[in-house]
Amino acid sequence: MKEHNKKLVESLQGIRKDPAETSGAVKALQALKSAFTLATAAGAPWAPAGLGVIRVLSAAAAALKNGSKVDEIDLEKLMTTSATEDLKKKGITEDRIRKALDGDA
Amino acid sequence: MKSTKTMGAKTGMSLLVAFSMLFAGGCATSMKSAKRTAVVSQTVYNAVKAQVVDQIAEIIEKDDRGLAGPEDRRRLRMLDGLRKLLDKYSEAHNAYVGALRIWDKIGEKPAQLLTQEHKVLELWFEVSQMASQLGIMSHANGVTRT
Repeated sequence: MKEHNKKLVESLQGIRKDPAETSGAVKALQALKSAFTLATAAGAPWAPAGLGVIRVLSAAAAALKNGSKVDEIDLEKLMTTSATEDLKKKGITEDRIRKALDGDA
Repeated sequence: MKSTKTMGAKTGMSLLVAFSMLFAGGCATSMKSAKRTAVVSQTVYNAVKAQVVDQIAEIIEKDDRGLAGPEDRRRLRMLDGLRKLLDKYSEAHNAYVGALRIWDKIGEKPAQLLTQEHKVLELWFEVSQMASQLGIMSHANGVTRT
């Protein structure tokens, strides 16, 4: 098994083994990130997608680090807003998107 | 023999599927692990959503200036599909957080929690696939999208 794949599997196993510990999850995410970095350097065919995953994993790891006091997290703050709402805030409605798709804007 | 492209896509897909295990790994055995799952879910969702919103806005702006071509419209169509999927994901994620609030309030795990968690996981699979096809994640790292 290639080194990056091996690291990836180990990282995922680490996460599954230690789901309750935030520190364990952060470590596993960091290991997973390094596995993707290694794969990218090795020119793995999925490297471009892997690079993006690194960014998302970094964000997830950072979130977990910041949320080390998980018990104190306010559930209200874990709610999300939709992509459509965010676009509306930028003045882009579904109708506007449809017009652009039709090419008659 | 499989083409490199097919194999690459398959490997990429399996990795994204594997990445989804992050959610499964946080299976709600305790309020702490359930909250952590929600934190990861919210973070990755926001990261992908920000890129989709920015890219849609970019193409619309281009269209306003009369500069959008067929390739832009093709990409916009895919981005719009992902937008709709992300809206469903947001709804499922919020329902999951809602179930956590009930758990927090009554001190007992609500029956719908597991169903909501599975829904989030299922949708994450779909989001991963579409985001991967769009090169959404790589675009944010300055890598030329394909």
